[in-house]
Amino acid sequence: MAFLTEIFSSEIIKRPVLDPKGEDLGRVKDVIVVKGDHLPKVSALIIDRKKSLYVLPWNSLNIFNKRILSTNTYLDSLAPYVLNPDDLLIERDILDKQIVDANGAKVVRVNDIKLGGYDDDAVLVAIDIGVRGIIRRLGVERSCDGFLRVFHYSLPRQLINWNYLQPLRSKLDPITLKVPRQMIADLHPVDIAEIINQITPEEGSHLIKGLDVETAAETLIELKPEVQAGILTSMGAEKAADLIEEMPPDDAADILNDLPIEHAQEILGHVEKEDAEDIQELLSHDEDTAGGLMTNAFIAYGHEITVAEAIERLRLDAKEVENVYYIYVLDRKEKLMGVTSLREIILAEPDCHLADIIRTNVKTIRPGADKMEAAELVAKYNLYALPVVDDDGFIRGIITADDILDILLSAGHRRG
Amino acid sequence: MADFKKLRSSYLWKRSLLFLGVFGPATITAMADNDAGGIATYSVAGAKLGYPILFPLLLITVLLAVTQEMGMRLTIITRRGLADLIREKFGVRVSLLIFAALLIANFGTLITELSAVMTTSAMFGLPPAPTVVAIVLFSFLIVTLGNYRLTQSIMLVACLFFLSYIFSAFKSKPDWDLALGNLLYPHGVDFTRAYLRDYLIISIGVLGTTITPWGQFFISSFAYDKKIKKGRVFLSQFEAYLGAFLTDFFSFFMIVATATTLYVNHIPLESGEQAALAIKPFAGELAGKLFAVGILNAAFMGLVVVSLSTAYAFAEFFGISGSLNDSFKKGKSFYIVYLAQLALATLVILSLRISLFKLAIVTQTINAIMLPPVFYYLIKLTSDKALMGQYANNKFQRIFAICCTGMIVVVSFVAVGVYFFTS
Repeated sequence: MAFLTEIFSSEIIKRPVLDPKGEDLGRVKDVIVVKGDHLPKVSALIIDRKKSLYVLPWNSLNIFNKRILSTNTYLDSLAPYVLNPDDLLIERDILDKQIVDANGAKVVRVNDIKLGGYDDDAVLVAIDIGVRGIIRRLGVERSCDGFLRVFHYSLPRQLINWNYLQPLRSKLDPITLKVPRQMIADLHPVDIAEIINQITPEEGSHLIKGLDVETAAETLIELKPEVQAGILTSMGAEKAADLIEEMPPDDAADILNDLPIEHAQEILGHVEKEDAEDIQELLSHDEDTAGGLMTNAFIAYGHEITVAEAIERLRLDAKEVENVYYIYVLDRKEKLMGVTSLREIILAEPDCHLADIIRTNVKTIRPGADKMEAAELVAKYNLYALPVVDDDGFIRGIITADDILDILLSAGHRRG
Repeated sequence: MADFKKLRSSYLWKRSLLFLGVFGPATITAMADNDAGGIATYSVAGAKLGYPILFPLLLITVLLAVTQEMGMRLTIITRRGLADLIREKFGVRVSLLIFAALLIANFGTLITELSAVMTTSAMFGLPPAPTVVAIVLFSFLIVTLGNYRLTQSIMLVACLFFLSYIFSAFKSKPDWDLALGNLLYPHGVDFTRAYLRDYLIISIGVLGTTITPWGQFFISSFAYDKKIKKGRVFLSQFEAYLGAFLTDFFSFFMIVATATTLYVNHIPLESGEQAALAIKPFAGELAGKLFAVGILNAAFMGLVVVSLSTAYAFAEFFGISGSLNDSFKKGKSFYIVYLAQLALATLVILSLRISLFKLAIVTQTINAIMLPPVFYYLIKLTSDKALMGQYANNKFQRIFAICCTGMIVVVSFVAVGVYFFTS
């Protein structure tokens, strides 16, 4: 049967289906969908006749439009059907559920589903997320339109193409397209996190599982602690460790800090030794101190090397270190001697020694100092990063300006 | 790992602060039950019926605790609001039905709050209509420009007013034996036909002012907005029970205070000044002013909380983002729904000018009548093992809630019938 018009699921469900003679066979209870060549397609209708369920495969349908639904099957050849949790049903599994609009990067709710024709199949073309969808579900679309026409107003259509939709349940994976998954992965991690904040932890972790490790790690960092905890829990310690390894150590420490101890220990157990040590070091400091804020990934070279050598090393180190703007320079005893910046390095002669171009009056802070003190220093001296130096003069880590911003903003403004 | 020792101590330290952090949604919802409608209802109850009206109060408190706890548990475990779940599990029609019930009940309550504002403005010598408009504008500003924490702080402060009822109740030297005894069984009064008729009707009013449809939605949305972690379920449950106890703790004293000052002296309750007599033993000559300030405060709280619950429910049912933390631009529909009800209620109250004390009982009865459908779905959802896992209702909770719901249906019908056929 060639399906030519467009029709909404609310216009099918609960409608009667007729046999070839025009007799009533039953009412449509739900619609089974399966993976299609591109868009998901309708595979069968489930009809309800006097409390019993029967299934009508798609190819047995004759007429399929807003007015009439009819089949070439007679009552006596109706195949019975048992509700199966594995089947994908429109009303049970898709309608009224939340879904991600990858194009708009937001979470929306499915009010209705539009079906269209493709070859001989009926495929899911789009979902209706607007008020019109709700009105149609209630069966009053026409009356409403008529009423509003008096005011020269027409309810807008708010449809989102199935191409852009990323469902949230793993059950709907078979009918999820690659494109929306890719679109979400291309979003800024902060935007992905925003989406995850609106859905449950299980749905969130399902979404994150579909992302590559780097994006997943970046997204996880942006989430609120309770959401992070929920997602990491439903992930399993090994996968969680993979994500933790991808993150800068200070973000990893922050996340682990908010988890219950046994859980954090378990994840750390699976993390690569070097990364785990870095994170441990950071965890030993109290959250509200400079030590709790800092990251121990920074650039520090000996004073005797040349600018050219420094640039070569930077090329390698920049892979692992996020903040490479300041290059800290150490003396013979490996204590902090001075600092120079990437800008200085670019402007300097390649055969200069680092000792020649550094500034020795470095503003530093003790690990135990209060975080607000760090904020004040960064603001006062216009720093991009503030080195954290212990009593013996060794540099233990740096506090970057973006972390300072977070403190200052949450001091005045709510942070949920 | 040695480094975790430090973690552990700061963890314990945090836990004690934790309770204060969670302390919010259930207590506020419970406190907001003592809105202007609540004060009016409890005052009328005590003044008209004396101590025996304390008897239903105990049962109502237990029911309040159970349903609030269910509501909080539902949100914490599923990380979804009540309206969200109803929409997802039961579809559009049911959502519309429940929303309609909520809207009707809430609208009645809003009108009651505004009626209280009119009553008290008269006590202050202020012109009623402009005062009403001013309060409504203030309610709007505080919610659009403020945010969750600010709103919560303001409301917690407002709760202090109820202390005056406690002091007043003690100072007026009531018959404590009689009062406390009536919690267990009603006695000490002549149970005439007229009395019983009033008793039935006012009981439903007391029920409807303590347990409300909006309260059920509000606790769910507020808890979600506050983003409470799953691990804190036990603390939240405790807070729900505490909140319920607190609310009726204050109601108890309100009823005792009015019973001792007004019922005993057969003073009818028709005006704010008469109601203020209930706190005269404590506040003396300032009773009038204190009562006016308190009820104004309670009315304000009621306006904000009730309208918010409608807006939250609307957003959840029909798919718009709704959160106190959104700016006006982001959550336009949310804020519009909020303001629209207030505006409409203002129009109604300014054109009709109904007496607060007569209005309160009627609107609170409507609240009670709208409860059964809401409870039906609440119980269904919290009993769903697939949804709640190990936190699904146990037998006692389910049976208790179902019995109470059934009882509410029956008594509502009887009360409404009695009201219409004997007045």
